[in-house]
Amino acid sequence: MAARVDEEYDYLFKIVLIGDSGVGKSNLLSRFTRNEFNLESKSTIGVEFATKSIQAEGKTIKAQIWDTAGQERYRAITSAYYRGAVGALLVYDISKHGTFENVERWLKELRDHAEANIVVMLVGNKSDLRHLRAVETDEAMAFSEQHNLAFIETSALDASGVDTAFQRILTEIYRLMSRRNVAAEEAANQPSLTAGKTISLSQDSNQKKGCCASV
Amino acid sequence: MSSPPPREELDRQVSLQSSEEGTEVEYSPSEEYPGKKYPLQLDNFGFILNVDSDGRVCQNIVDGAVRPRATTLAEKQKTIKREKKWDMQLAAWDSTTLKAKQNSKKFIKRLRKGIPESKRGEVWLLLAGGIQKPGYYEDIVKKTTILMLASYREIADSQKMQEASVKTSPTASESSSFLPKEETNPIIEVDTDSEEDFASTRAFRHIQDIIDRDIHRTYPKHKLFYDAQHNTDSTASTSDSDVVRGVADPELAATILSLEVDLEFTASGGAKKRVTNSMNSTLTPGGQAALRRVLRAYSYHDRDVGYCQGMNFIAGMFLTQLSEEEAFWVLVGVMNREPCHMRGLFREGMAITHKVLHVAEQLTYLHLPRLARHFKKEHIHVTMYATQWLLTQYTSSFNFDLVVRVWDSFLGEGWKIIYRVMLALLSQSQQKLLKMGFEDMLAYFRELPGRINANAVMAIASKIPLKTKQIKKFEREWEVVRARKAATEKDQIEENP
Repeated sequence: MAARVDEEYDYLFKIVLIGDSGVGKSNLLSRFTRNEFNLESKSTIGVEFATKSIQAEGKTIKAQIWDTAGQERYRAITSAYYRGAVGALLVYDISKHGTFENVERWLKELRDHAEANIVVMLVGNKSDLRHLRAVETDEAMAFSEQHNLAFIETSALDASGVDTAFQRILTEIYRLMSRRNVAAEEAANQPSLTAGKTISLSQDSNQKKGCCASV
Repeated sequence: MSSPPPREELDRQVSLQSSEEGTEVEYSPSEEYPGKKYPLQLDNFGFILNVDSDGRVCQNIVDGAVRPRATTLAEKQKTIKREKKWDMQLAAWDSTTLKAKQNSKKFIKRLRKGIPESKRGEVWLLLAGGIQKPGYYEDIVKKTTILMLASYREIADSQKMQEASVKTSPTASESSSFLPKEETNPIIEVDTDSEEDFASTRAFRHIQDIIDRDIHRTYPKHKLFYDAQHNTDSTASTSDSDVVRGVADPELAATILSLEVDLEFTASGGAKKRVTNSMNSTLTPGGQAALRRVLRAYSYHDRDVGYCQGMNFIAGMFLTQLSEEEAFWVLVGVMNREPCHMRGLFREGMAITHKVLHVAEQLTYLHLPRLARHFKKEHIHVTMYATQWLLTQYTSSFNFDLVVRVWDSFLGEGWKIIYRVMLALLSQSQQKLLKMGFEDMLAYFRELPGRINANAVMAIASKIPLKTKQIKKFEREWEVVRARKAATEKDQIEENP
């Protein structure tokens, strides 16, 4: 069996999905990448991986998404995957206030292990559970403004907000990156259409794909 | 339209039923499950093959599900022969001869051939050290249940009082407890003679909360754990709050309800029943509650470990083979005793997980150097594919025909078989993997569990020239690296206090 020829893309962005156990990270990933929601999903052990390409401002952006186990103890394994990530979706469950209270700890985790310029989006998942809501939208909105995070509510179950969440964070990363690398891009005339490149928001932007887990 | 009774209610009915009627639990005929009109189609281990991704039982076996293979006459005869051999083994066994057995090559070879289905539970229990203190499991379940109930009722009461003071609601004074007063009194007595019991602490309740999030995510398609209620009505927890009168917080209400079920359960002697019969095509409710109790009891028994994700699959797999009490003791055995000694994998820091992954990576270099170099070139790190395999001993993603074979050996000889199976899976896939890039390899690994043939994998595994001293060497290597790292970190702290 020959290796599949990668589809063409302009940019490759590495994104991590983090947040407490049971908030729905794996289902957000499967809803976005395969348009599937699995009521019969199993707990994630370690890390899982999926990709999807989207269009943003005329460019094809491929997202390489790492889904991580949520329990605190696993951070020794999962934090290695933050390296080289340009975006993070920090997920909590709107029906469990404790998962929102832990958001600050996850932010610290990112400060300690991820790149300084990583784009973080706060995601309140399970918005379909209206009758069980324990975290008010205003509360989460205020928190995200205070911490300079993007914010969205989603439901992996009914699909609302999921595509928008990924589209928004990827577009934002692209914009940030093109502002930063505007000089470099002008020098190179045009970005490579076949190979693609992983964009790092720090100065050493030559991160190779997949080189994220030297534990 | 009346909503169906909550899941815990059903568990309760069943646990009572099982105590009266013996080991086989029938699904109550009034029970509803989505797509009930279709009969369940099960594989040889009790997994439901005709459940779709929405959790509904459908007419046909879903794509990707592996149909059970019919047993040939030759296989049946072989099984009978093996059963006889094992009968003789078991008759000669006691705890003193067992240790010597575990070190004998002949015995390990016999385990690698697989324990006959009918003897498996018994042999596993013996290998893991048996039920060390009869009654201990029920005692822990009872104690933790009583103490947690007391704590949660207190929380519910204080919530109610807060609400009452805000709204001056007339209903607030009506019910301060959900059981009659005389039943709550002894609860307080448990706690008075010593300092606060672990089960009354917030830390313990936090652990139980983490366990709860994995209960419905453990083998959701196995007939023991399939949650008909959850799948009939995704908003079921609202109806729970109607049952536990006056508790506004639906999550708290559900917790109290499930603890009340546990309390009744401990009185019923249900922990001694093996409720599984994989060939019986009826649902076996109560599995989720059983899993919750086993994990809770372990988290109380071993506070250093508490609970770590991954243990849910191991305990859940035991419950498909053993009674609840036996499952608890086999869990205690594999976590704490040689040759499995797994607790270091799951303790805070998960240090042994790192060690095992290091050994796995080095063994790949030693036995499959071309593949290991290809992984390195393509930036495939061992944590990307082997974490699940090695942390849960294949229980979390592989079909049970492989899982039980691995565990037959693992319980007898320990870690070597785990590495053997990993090397077998990789060597079987080597030619394909060598032609793939990073993403294709990860996709391949994701789908691998559904593609393998357990007998073939076990046959390759036992032929790999893996030596114990190779494993020991890489373990030592890791210890040295770790000690050096710890020393550097210490220096850094001393330099920049």
